Amino acid sequence: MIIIELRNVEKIYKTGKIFVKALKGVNLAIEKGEFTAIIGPSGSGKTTLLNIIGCIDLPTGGEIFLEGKNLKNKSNNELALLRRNYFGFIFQNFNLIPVLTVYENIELALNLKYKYLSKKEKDKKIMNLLEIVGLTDKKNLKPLELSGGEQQRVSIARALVKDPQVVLADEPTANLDSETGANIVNLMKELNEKKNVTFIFSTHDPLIMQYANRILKLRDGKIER
Amino acid sequence: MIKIALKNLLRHKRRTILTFSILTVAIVYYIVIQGLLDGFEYESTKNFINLESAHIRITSQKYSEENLEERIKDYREIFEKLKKFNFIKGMCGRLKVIGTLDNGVDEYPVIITGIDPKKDGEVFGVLNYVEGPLKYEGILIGNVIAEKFKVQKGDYLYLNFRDKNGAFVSKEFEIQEILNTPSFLLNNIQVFVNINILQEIGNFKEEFSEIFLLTDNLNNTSNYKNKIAEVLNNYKVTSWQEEGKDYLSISKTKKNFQVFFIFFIILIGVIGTVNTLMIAVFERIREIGTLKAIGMKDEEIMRMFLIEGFLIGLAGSISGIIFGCIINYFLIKYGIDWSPLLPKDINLGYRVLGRVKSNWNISSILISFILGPISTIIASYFPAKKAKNLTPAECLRWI
Repeated sequence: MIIIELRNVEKIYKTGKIFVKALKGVNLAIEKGEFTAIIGPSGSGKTTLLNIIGCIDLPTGGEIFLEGKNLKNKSNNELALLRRNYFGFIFQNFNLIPVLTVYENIELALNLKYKYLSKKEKDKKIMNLLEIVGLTDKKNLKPLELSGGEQQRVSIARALVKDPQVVLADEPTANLDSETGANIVNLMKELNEKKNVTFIFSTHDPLIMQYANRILKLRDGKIER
Repeated sequence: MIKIALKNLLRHKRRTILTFSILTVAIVYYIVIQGLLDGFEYESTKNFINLESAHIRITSQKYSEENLEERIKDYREIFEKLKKFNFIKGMCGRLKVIGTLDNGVDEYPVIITGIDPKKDGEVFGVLNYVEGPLKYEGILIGNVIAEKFKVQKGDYLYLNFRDKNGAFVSKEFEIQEILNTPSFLLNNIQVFVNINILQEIGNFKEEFSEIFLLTDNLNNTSNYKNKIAEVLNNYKVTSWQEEGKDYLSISKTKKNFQVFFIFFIILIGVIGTVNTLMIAVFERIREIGTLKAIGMKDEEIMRMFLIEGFLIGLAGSISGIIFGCIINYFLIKYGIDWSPLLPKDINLGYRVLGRVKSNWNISSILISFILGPISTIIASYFPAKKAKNLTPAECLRWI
């Protein structure tokens, strides 16, 4: 079942008087449960593509369909609700909120989606995920007290706590050593297989690519066939 | 949302403290000044009533400061009519004539006021300044007058005036007391003598210039005044508020001054908070991007910054009120001695002397409590709007 479809998607950035075409007519369909890697050199448009898929950024041209529905005329609030309920994000720089503890970072995302869940149920859900990512004993630490790999695992837990349909990960292992990177990808793969969560991630790392069941090559804003 | 806003504020404790401290100082200033002005007003009102106006004054219709000849001739009838009013707690008559004081060399114009040694104390506090009863040939003069003549208690001065028939009267009186009161009028212009001798030597037998009343409630005098005016329709009845128009206008000025203060506090709150939160928006722009990326709505981001602003204002208000009240407490307990700043021979309007104690101005405390958060919410609107209007991708790309 196709859950995401991009038709001739373009993205042009304007920096001063210069226009940069980051995506030049991308056509793409993602099936539910895929574990897809987007690869390509720096500046090829990987982050832009992930941002557009995840409604973080808007395309300059083309159309995006989510479960068959066109996202073209969605308001900012509707897009925020999609990001809240449908997508989970894992960033290269983790992007955790530094003033919140590990537990609170995950709780923040959970509260957005499951506002009316009881405190007990929320706690159970967070602790369950912390156990999966192996950070139960570090739940009260602040992000800066954790290693890069641990921070990325918090970031994964934060993405998954909302039970997203699709997880978008922008170079999730780029700032990690190879062993930690492999652990993270193993974890993502495990969640993909157990929970049937669709993963789309960008990477440079050939070791990581081997886990993907589909690889999309992006070069100069276009997907190479 | 409140938790994250609070944690964000605690992230840069010094900056947050500095921001709300500015607001604190403004609020302390506001509370203390309002308390002082209230103290001045309270003290002035008390002294004005106690020394000059009483609660209600009854005169003949044509009587005025320029026309003292229009005296009350049938005071017994008035006293009889007033007996039925239970709210009257004290009643006395006074006789006023224009005259001069002289020591044989210098002459000084005064208003001679005859007071009843037995009844005047029911209404006024002038006799409280005198040791023992007012003598038949005694005179009470203000300290400024005494300085002009360089006289002391026990010295003698001549009192000169025209009697009822226009004949010139001059009589020597012993200075029984030199009055140092909070009233400019008493210290500079008015002299007091026993009404019996004034009536006798001036041929004003059984005549009063004014009848003064003290009631059970100074705030209800307008109502009482109307009731009295109904039964005394041939007389002019005035309340202390009407008598003290000049000094009550100072209270009005005080209220205008308060508006200036309120504006001042808002300005301080706005400038400080805009600055802090604007820096916070730019510092945390990637975080804002993350919050948007995980699904926080633009309004929720905006609300977060407004809450931060509100918390800064609340902290500033609470600390301002606490410090303001502590300072005010000591000013109420001990007061401030204003005598070096209060000139004796210039009428400032306020009837105060030396040490004046502050008062609790509850409205200024309530206004401060509301004003701090309101001003900082207004201030945080602009940074919050800035944060709201950025797209998640713009925030995440921010370097």
